[in-house]
Amino acid sequence: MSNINQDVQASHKILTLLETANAQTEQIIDLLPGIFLIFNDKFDILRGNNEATQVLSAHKETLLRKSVSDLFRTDIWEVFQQNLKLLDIAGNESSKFELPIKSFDRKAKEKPYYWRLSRLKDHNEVEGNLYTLLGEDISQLRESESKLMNVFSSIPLGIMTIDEHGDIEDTYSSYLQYLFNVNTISGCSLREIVFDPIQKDLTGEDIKGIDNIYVSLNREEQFFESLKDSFPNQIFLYKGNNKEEGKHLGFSYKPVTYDGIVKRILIIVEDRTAIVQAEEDQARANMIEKQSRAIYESAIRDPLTGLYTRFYMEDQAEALINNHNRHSISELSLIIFDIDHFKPINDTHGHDVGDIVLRQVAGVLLRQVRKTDIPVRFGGEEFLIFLPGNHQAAQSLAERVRKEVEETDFEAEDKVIPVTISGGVAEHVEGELLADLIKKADRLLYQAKKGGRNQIVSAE
Amino acid sequence: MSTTIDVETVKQKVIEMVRQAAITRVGDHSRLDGFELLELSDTRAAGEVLGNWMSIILVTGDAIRITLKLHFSSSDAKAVSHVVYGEDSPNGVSDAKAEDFVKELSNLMAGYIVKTFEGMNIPMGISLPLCTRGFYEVFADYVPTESPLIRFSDLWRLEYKNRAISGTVMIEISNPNALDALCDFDLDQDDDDDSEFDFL
Repeated sequence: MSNINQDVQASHKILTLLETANAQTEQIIDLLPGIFLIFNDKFDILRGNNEATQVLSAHKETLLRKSVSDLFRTDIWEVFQQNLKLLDIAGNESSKFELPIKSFDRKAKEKPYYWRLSRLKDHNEVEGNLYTLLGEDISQLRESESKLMNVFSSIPLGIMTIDEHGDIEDTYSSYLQYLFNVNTISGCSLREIVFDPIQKDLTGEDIKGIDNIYVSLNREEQFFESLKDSFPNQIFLYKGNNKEEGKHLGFSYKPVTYDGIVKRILIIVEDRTAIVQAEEDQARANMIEKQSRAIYESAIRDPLTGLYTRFYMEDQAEALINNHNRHSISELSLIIFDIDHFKPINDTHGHDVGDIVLRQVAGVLLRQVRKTDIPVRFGGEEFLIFLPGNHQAAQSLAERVRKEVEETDFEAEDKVIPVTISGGVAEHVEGELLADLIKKADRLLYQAKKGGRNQIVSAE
Repeated sequence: MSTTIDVETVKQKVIEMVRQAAITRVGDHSRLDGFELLELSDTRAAGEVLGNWMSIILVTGDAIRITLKLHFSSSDAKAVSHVVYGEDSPNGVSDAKAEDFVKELSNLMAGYIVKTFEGMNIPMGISLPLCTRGFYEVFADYVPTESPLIRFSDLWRLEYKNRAISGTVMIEISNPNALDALCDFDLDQDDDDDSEFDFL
């Protein structure tokens, strides 16, 4: 075989490969996602992919020489042509824009498409300039956005961005209009809408924080973060003097950066009015509860001695007696004390000193009783102790109290006052009434007094 | 050599030869009678996209180069080829077979042209036919000129019962004197030899 023939054979092989490559390329174009078109200066389509044939309801063969204008409504087509003109004027390689395509099904809605229009470098004497048009169906994206916007609109949060000048750019919730009580938000400055109406209420710290919002724009994210804590995070917004319809608004701030520079700030506004009111209500409830508890304490505690009052005793002693009657506790006793010669102390040293003595004797009682015992100021200088236990245990406790009182130096107004107490100890008998038990113990106290005081008399 | 050649006659003869190749070979290849060759020059222009598919072949020699493009749609190619493939209807012809039919047709036409030139002792070469889809013909830039190359084109359509294969012929003559024999060439002396040109 001659060299020429070999060359021809080689050329033929290359041609065959080229043809296969072309076929593959064409197949790829057919399968490109979205609409792909090549058209000329007269908007005649020279090539379209599979989706273009579907959208234009044209067979592949009849797509040739259809007009691109068939894709669009008349008014939209004018916009498309404007984009094409801009592409030619600006000399850009491509332009991107969003335009809907008309549906061939009259009942169906138009579909939004995102287009990328490019001019090919090659052109032809007859066809003129050639353009490629890639269109992506973004109806699902728009639907998702719509759903998201519905979510934004339905949640009690206002979401907006401010631009690099501090003007409100995008609002993602109509709820903002309600929050700020204005009709127009976009384009207004953040200061004008949010902070100016309550300027007289703003503290110096608030004003500095507002200034810092503006200062942080067009700066590095790190700088934004260093100032963020100073931004106002809660205000009470109201119009004029109408504080009753005011709202407590909470703010949070997120930077939107481009190349590390804060170009936008996303601001989330929360209506905290209900929360603040709930907090105030809770604080009021806590106060009332505290006051009620103080009232209750004053009812059950003797303010002078800290011992329980008769009012409390009646409930608690009755409960103890019931428990004893039901055998929940096996034994119950009562001690009744009386300070010996208390009237002369009052008469000699005055009531203030008498009160000090009462308080100190009560202190002895409180030191000696167990948690299960109930010490009571019964009246004047008389004290009771109810305790689960028999008369011996009660006798022992009573004796410890008596002894400590006797041994204690009661000091009042630089004087040492000798104080003793007498006591009667009685054990409760099942079925016995509280009043009877007290009377029984009181009789024993009387015996102790009669026996010379500073002693405990216990019933066998 | 100072022979003055009637260039217009040469051009006309080339056009006629190619047309003759087209009309005779399409009839032979399709085994259909009734193909007509209609001029398109008034309505279309060389370089225009005339079909979804295109088969292109090059016939070249020292003095002349002829680029022959056949533009067609798959459905039309099927309609005019189903007989030769022994199918009852165009639907029986696959896309690949329809492409092959037009490729072979361009090959036969080129073969006819080469054979005709060789009959005038003008040696010519021939490429493989290449079949593409899309819009590639727009890049075959074509501007008519008279010097230094004589460049011209011819457009026609082979039509059979509303089915058509369009043809664009681009001709470049570098040495019209070498084509002197064409002026006396009689197209009617076609020997009716339908044998296929054997390219390598």
